Amino acid sequence: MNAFWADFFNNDYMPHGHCYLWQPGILWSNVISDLVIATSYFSIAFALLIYSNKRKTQKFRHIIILFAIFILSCGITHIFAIYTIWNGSYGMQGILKAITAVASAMTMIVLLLNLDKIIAIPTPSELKDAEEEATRERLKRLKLEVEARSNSIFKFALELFPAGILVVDSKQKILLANNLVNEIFGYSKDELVDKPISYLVEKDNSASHEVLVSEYMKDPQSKEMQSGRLVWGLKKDGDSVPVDVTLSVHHVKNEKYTFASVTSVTDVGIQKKRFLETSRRLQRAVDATDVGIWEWNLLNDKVWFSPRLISLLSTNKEQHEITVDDWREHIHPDDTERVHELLNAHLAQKGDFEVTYRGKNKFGEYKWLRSKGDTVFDDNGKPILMSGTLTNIDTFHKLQLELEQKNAFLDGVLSQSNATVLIVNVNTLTLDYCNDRLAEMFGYNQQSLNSILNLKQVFKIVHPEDRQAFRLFFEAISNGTESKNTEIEVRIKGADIDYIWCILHAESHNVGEHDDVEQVLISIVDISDIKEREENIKNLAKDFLDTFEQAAVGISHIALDGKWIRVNQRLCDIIHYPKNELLSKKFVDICHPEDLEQVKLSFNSLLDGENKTFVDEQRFISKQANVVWVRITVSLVEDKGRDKRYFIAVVEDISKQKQLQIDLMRSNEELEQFAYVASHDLKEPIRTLRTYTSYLIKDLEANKADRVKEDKQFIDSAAKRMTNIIDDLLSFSRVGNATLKLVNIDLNEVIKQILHDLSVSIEEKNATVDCDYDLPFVHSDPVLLRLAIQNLIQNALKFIPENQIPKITINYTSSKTQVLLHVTDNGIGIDEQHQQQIFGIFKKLHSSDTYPGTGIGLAVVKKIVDRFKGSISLKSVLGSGSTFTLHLPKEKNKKQ
Amino acid sequence: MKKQANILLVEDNKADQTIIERALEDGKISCLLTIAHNGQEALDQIEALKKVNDLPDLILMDINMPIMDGKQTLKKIRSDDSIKHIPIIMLTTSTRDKDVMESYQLGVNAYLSKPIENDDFMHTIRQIENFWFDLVVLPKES
Repeated sequence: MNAFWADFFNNDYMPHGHCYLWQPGILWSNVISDLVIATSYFSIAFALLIYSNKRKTQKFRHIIILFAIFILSCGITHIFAIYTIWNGSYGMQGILKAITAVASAMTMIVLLLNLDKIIAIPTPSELKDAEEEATRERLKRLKLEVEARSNSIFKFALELFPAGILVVDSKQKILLANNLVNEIFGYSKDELVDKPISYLVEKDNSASHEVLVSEYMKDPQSKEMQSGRLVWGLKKDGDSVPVDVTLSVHHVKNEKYTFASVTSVTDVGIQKKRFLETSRRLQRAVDATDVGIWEWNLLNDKVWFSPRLISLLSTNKEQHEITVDDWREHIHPDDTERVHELLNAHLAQKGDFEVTYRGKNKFGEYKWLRSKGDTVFDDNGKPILMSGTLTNIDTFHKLQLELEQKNAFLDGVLSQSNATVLIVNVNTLTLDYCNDRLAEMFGYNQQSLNSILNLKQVFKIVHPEDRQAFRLFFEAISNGTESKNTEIEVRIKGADIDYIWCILHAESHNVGEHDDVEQVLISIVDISDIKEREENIKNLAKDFLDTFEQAAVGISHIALDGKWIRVNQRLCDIIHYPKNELLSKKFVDICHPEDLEQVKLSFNSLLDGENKTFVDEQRFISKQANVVWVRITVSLVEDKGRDKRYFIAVVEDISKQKQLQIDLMRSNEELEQFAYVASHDLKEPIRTLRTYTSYLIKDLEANKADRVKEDKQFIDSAAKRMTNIIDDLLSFSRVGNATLKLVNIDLNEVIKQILHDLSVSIEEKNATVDCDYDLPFVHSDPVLLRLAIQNLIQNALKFIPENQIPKITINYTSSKTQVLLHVTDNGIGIDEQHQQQIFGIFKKLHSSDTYPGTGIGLAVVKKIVDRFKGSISLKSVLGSGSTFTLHLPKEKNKKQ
Repeated sequence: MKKQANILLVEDNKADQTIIERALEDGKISCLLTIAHNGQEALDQIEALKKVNDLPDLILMDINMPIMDGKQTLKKIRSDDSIKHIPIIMLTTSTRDKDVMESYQLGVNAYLSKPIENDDFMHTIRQIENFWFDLVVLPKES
């Protein structure tokens, strides 16, 4: 064996080149050809391997690998053929060819076995066709899904419909029947689908019914079949059932469909009523809403618009002719761009589609419309089908625009307003609106006010004194029982400020179904200024009244006709009239008649405008007819507000002043008289002294003895007079200043003492004094009384005609309160015209040469009796004596 | 002086009477002096003199007198046509303006206040004398 394999692999066989005779032409053509073939075969094998590796999914991979092996071994045999040209190892070549033979044989077998499969591999064009077919299928499926979805909604709606619904195609085949139809006719679900409509109609009637239905479908305007047609239906079990049928025709995708609503007449009473109600309600809804429905197939750009929608467009085309451009064209040019932007955005971003635009209708008018839509997209996000509604919102939109304008206007007005304006919801007690003034006035904003605006809190910002009134006000407006607008003045507290006087005006703003007030419009105006002024005026008025009534002077208003309009109590007091009685009189009625002329002049001076005010002193006559002196200050007042003129008269009681004035005048006169007389009487002795002393010196020098004697006499008498005057004045003064000691005095004792003191004078004159000594007691000062009586008796002794014997009588009478002591003489008497003068100081009726005296005596008597509230009176006839009477207080009862 | 004048002195005070007497005497006035103690007495005397047609040529009169004072007397004289021409000199203690004015208004010819200075008195007398007795021819009572 070894020898065999040694021979077999022996290289010593004759190289193949010998066969070519080493002819280079033949040799190299074989070598190069074998090399090229081998290279090609290797490349093919390599390419097949790459292909096989890349297309791992390929069904025929093993065949390709076999091919590769077979070609690779072919290549190797060619390479080895080149080797054998120079080396004769033909054994090795045989093995290599055997391997190639095996690979070829296997490839052939496998190939033959799989031939039919390989033949079945489609061509590229066939593949393309197949793909297109697949896409179409997918779209169809999607569309069906959409339709199925809408169908299911539609079917659901159908089931809810209160009548039986049948949808029939133009071939009178039933496409759809809802449960109610199945119930009426006794079929189970979907059993009727695809059955001819005649199934449901009694045989006797079916022919005519079919005719009617087809007639109707040709011309839906024919009313015959449209509504309320009563036919005999055929149930599944063969029974007849009376049904009421109403038809309507709709075009869907160029197909005519008949929609029949079927109601069993067995319960037709109820059903018909129900149906009518429903159809009416639907009709009403449809009529009222103007909602158009549209569908837009974006793949073929075809649209379906509901009749209602078409009516909103400007086109006059039939339903099936309408394209999406008809819709585009009816959009207002100003809105076109916006609508398209929104539409494109929707299709790109798959959001909601909603647009409000102006669309032109058949009459060329633009109306506000709103379209809403939704789109079905495929897996790649490509829009396929878009559908939606188109609604006429013209009236609504215009109203809305108008409302917005009005609101803006109202808001402008309210924010400019000086008043705070609030809108309060009384049910929730919240603030629905407030303008800026709220913050300016009170420092509250809507939020902070809302937080305090509930019934418990809101009263906290109202002044405690006003809360009760505010509560009533608030209840009144909330209940709406009171008038619909009310006002109240309250003090309201601000956020950082004190209470402000406000006027609140509330008006029911919104009234609910049951007349319940929902919103209340409240306006608040700051009236603190007004309030303050009002308060001031009130205070002024009160001050005025107080002043008027409580004035220390009389104040009155007098009308132009002289009537008293208003008088205060003080004036009434001054003239002692009751107020009412005074008011019934005129000014002149109480004037003193002598003053009337002046009164008229004064008042006229005001009316003439000559004076603004006059001040007069005049007399009023009191109710008791007494004279009352008054100072009256009068002005004319013009009340321009009431177009009224009247006098204001201020009346002061000056009776006391006047009396004092009169007293003072008399006192002044007396004083002047006194000064005059005193100076005269006092100067006289001094003057005489001076004159005669100067004479005396001259007469002594001239040695005129008789004149010297005369001079001395004048000097002596003057000096004596001077002494008397000084003594008497001193006595007069003492009488005025002495302290009174009032006691009960026995007049008898007084007289006895005086007569005793004057006994020398009495005897000189040889006078007689008569006194009964039955005189009473008086209440007086003993020293002064004695001086007074003594003066009277001395006068009686002095003023007596020459050579006449004085005769003096002292007696008394008495009145209720006084003792009247009379001293009567038979002297020279006093002329009646001088009787009042004689009590004046220094008053003398005779020259001192005739009746010497200082003229002070009677003045002293008068002064004494004045001091103890007595008086002195005189009765006298010139030349036949006088009676001086002292009026003295009676003695006081000691027990008292 | 052409004749001896009749002078009536109306004065209640003895001392003042003496002063006038002496003044006339010292002034060498040759006259017949009659004295009345008050106005009433003076009027009575004038009435008596009227009857004998021997009216005073000059009256010297005090104001402050009892019964009837100088002013009242003056008034009566000046209101009596038959005697109102008689010149009157007031002699009085009063220096009140009121008295002076009133006296002149009532028609005195001169006013002298006491105490009377002789020189003043004489000067006044002479003035009156010149005027009434030398220059003026008085109309006699018709």
